[in-house]
Amino acid sequence: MSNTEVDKSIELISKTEELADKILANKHELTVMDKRRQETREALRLVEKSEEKKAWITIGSMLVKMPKDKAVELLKKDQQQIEKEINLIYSEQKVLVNKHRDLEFKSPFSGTNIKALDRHEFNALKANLHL
Amino acid sequence: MTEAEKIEVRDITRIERIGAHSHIRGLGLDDVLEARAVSQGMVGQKDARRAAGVVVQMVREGKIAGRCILLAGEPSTGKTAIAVGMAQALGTETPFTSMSGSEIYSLEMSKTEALSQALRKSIGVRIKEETEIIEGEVVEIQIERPATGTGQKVGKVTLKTTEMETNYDLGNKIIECFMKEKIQAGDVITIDKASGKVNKLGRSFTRARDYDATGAQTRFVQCPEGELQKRKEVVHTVTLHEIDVINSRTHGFLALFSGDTGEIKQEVRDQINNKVLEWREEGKAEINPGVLFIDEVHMLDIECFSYLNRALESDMAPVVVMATNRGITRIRGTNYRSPHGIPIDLLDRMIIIRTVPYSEKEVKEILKIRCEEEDCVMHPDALTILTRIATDTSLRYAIQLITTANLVCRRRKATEVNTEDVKKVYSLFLDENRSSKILKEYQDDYMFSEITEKEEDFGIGGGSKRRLDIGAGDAEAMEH
Repeated sequence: MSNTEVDKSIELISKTEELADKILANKHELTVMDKRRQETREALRLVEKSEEKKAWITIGSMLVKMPKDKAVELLKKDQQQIEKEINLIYSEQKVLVNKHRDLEFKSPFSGTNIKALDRHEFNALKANLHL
Repeated sequence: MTEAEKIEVRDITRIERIGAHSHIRGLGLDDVLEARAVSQGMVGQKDARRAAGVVVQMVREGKIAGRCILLAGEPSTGKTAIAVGMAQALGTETPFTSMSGSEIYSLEMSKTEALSQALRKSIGVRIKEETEIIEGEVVEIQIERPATGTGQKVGKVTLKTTEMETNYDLGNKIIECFMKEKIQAGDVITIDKASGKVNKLGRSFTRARDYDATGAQTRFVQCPEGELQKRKEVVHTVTLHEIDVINSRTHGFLALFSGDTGEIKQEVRDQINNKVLEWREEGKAEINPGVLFIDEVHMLDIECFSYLNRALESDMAPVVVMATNRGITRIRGTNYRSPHGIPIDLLDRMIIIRTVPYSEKEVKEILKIRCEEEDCVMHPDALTILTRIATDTSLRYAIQLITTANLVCRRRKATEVNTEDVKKVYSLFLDENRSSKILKEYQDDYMFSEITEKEEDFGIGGGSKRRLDIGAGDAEAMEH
């Protein structure tokens, strides 16, 4: 193999590996985010169920006692933030996977650009077809 | 490599027409669409295969709709085989409908209705379903029933994956789902967040040794990985015909299975078209025109051809592939003769792929592949004799001899078919030429035989001239 061919192969491989690394990192990130999401949800339930007027809550590495409604508010804000970040990662993943397929000269996976059907529309189809 | 979410693509039921082509796995082309000599069950016929490869590429890109392709060639030159190869090459995503020309003459529905149904069965619509599901292994379930017997149950379930664990408080309804599915610790379950349905996937491998005996239905699955709450996207392809059927009857899905769809009103079809186009505008669906293969297309009459002329101009029309082995023939429904029995204006819109008769080497390869497919071990000399028979008579006759020779050989308790077996079946079963010769010699002994000297029988099926002419016309075999 001549020098340029070797160089080209190395470039191609390094690009695909870079993308693949990013995709795997995102996958891990999703797991971490989901963990946080579940923990926030559990915390929210416990705080709402508790009878006391004030709740102990960790912010960063500090343990703080604050009125219940403020704690609930903080937790809810956290939840929204996490949801947004998860949605971001999902859309990024789709773009990255398609870029990766493109580098490997494969066509983008089918149904890339389709938006999902509404639930009631899809249930109507599902009820009658063998989906 | 890796995928962000599980992207599934569902397949459509495909109608296979002939078992004689079950050995074909594809068109046998390489990456630059050049045909390999023997590949994926296809042998020779390189030009036609390359042309078919170009057509498959066109369909895959999906931007071309309403093209018409004609495969024309002598009998036994691989026309149907190429169509089967195209179907396999397109894969399960693209709708491929295969029909014979005479199938449209059904008593239940008119010819144009049968054609429009066939056309709409070949147009696929891609839609996506998105759900959030919680998938995990149950670590423990706690359900508290109120002591008074009435009142709501409350419960708590702890779910885990290989990387995380969390617990959920359960309400009354979902506790009932849990109890209905008889879920216990160690089961791997999915909960659909939107509908609240609980589904048991199986039991976790790590709990396989809990009990010495488990029920027959117990399936063991791996503990799920990654996050608990996943987003699942599934891409489905449905055909326009399926959607038509749902909307034309109240119990649409039964009609799909029994095939008794009857006539579907044009208003219903228009509504469906509008709805699908609306979805396409909103980005919720993609139209995926597939392939409609019409074999023996000379059996269609002038009404059908005129209908096709118009139908192919729609922007959702599928690619229509036709096959025929007729030469200059009368068009059914008229008294005019035209090439292949197809009107010239339709021929003008078509691209025609020619198939040529096989050479002796190619015939030998094909017979070898069929022997493998039909599970028959043949001695090379027997194969040579069979090849000679095929070139003298016809390829189909030789293929029929394969299984029969195999049976004869098994009867004498041998494993390999040799020349004696082939000679025996050759003498037992007549081919078309010998049969017609015998008929001419002993015509006086057959009932109702009225062959006179000047009336000669042409190509497709000799025999008694006194057969009912169902408008078949003067069918001449394709001549070079």
